[in-house]
Order: sequence, then C-alpha cells, then structure tokens
Amino acid sequence: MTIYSFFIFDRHCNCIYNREFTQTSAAGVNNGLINKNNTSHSSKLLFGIIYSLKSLSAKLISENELTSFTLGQSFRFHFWESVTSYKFVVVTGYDVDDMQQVLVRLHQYFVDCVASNGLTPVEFKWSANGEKLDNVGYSVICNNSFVEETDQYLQSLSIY
Amino acid sequence: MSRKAVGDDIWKNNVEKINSELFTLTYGSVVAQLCRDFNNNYHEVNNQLDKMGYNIGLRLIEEFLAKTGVRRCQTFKETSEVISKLGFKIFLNIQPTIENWSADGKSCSLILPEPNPLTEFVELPITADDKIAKELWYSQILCGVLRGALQMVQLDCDVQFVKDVLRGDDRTELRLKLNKILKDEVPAGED
Repeated sequence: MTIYSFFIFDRHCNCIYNREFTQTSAAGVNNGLINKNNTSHSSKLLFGIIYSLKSLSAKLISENELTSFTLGQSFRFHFWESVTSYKFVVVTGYDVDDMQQVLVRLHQYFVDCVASNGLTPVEFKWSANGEKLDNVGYSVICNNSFVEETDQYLQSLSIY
Repeated sequence: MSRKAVGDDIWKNNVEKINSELFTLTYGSVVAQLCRDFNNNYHEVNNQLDKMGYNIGLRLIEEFLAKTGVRRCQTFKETSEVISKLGFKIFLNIQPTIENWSADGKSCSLILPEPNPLTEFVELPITADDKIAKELWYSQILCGVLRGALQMVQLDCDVQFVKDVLRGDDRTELRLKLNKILKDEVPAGED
C-alpha cells in the first residue's frame, strides 16, 4: 500500500497541482517533487486517459461516475471531480480500494486554502498572448499552506 | 431530506455566522465609497459591484459545493431551487421565492424576501434629481455572485435586478436568464 502521487486538473485541462511522493522511512521529511511535472508528457497523458474513461463510463452506464481504474498489477488511479470541473487524482498501489472520501477531503483543503484565500488565484488560465488576466495568476497552485496540509493529511493515512 | 431541510440543517450546524449589522454596515460603506470614487456615476458603481460579486462567486461556489455536497442539477428548474433553498439559505439565511418562469424554462425571477440583509437600515438619500433611485442597484453584488458561481458550474447566465424595494418598488426582484450550458474544455491537440 503506497501513495505515489497526487494531481489536480482544472477545467481548462491544465495540471494545476502535481505532487510526487518519494517513499522514505524518515517521517515528516518533505520529500518528493512539488509541481515539477505539470506540463510533462505523463500528466497530459493521464489527463487524456481520465477524460476518455470518463466519457466511456458515462456512455456505458448512464449516471455512472468514474471513481478509479487500475493499470496492470502496480497502479490504481483514484478519481473525483467537483461540479466545478476540478479533477482530483491520486495514484496509489494496486491494493488500495476506495479513496473517494480522501479525495473529497482533499477538495476541502482546496476550498480552505485556495478558494477561500482571496489572494490566491482560482482561475489558472493564461491568456493567449501570455498576459495575466483578472483573478488569474500563476499557472499552478503554489500555496504553502495547501501543500503542507495536504501533505500532512496524505502522509497521516495508513495507506501512505 | 428535502432541500429546505438540508439548507436549514447546514445553516444551523455548519456555517460560521457573523453579526448581521456588521455585515450590512460593511457592505453599505463599500457601496458609499464606490459612489464617492466614481463621482456618483451609478452605472459604473453597478458595474464595479457586479465585478466584485463575480470574483466572490468564483470562490464561493467551491465552499458551497463542499458544504452541501450537491451534484450536478439536471434541469435549470432544479438549479434555481438549489440557489434559493441552499445557496441563499446558507450564506444569507433567506430563501427567495422563484416565479415568473419563461415559457422555454430558461429564465425566472428570484423574489428576495424583506428584509433584504444587504439593505437593512438603508435609505437612498433624497436629492434634487432622483438619479440615484433611477440608476443605482444597491444590491448589485448579488448578481455578480450568482453569475460567477453559475459560470463555474458551466452555466452561462445573465443576472440583473428588475425591481428593488429600496427604489420604491413593491418587491425586490432578480431576473435570472440562462444563456447556454458551457461545454467541458477539451485538451489541446498534441501536434
């Protein structure tokens, strides 16, 4: 049982938060990568897979919401989407079952640290010519309290 | 549980309350300051209030969704009910009534009950010309909040006041009009 990484995508299909955990024995040490692979090929692919699986599952069974899927014998992807189209994805080991409550809780941290924080942007899109728009800022979440609190929460889980 | 009961329950147990006078007076001083800043150009004041509301709405919707846990509404009628019974209830503790549906089901009116928490103690100043009563929509910020919040759930709406008790009308009426349902954005091609 392991948590490998955590992604948030916004409604403009951008990866606005990317956290990769490196498993070490030292507890409480801030390890792994934060927002290093937002525009990497793999995050885009991940978004693509989720996007396709989501439409597929909606077509196969109406009102069925995609919650998780497994790749091979090693990874399970847990997915939750807010009505505002923020997509939360946590990648864990194959043997982790249900993470919906965890994802909802992560959204709560997002509400507390990002949405309710007047100085943090909620729109992460850049205009076509690269200029900043109103209420639009950095293209990723780089809010320390959000990073710390979600880290702390995920690391406190028994599956971490 | 019905929507109304859910709204009541969240309001009772899960919402931080603040003193309503502080709230009303704070909003009042914002409006007054805007009137001064824009030399009583009330159209511009309306615009500014709308913009402020819009930026609040973009954020407030997240908190709203987290608190209520509602999922996507199937019809605009359902949306309007959620706005009134849950949205207005948990943030302002009022439940506007919804009426005047257009034939196509895309626009309706929200009637704000009195007292409107934004306008308690407020009277428009009496001046030689009644420009202020003709032009200023004192609670315009609510339009912006609704517009911003609805946009984030893919509903592109126009929201405006058509009547306000403050101006001497018989009731305070907000008109809500659905323009279109925005589509999910698709990732850009990988070329």
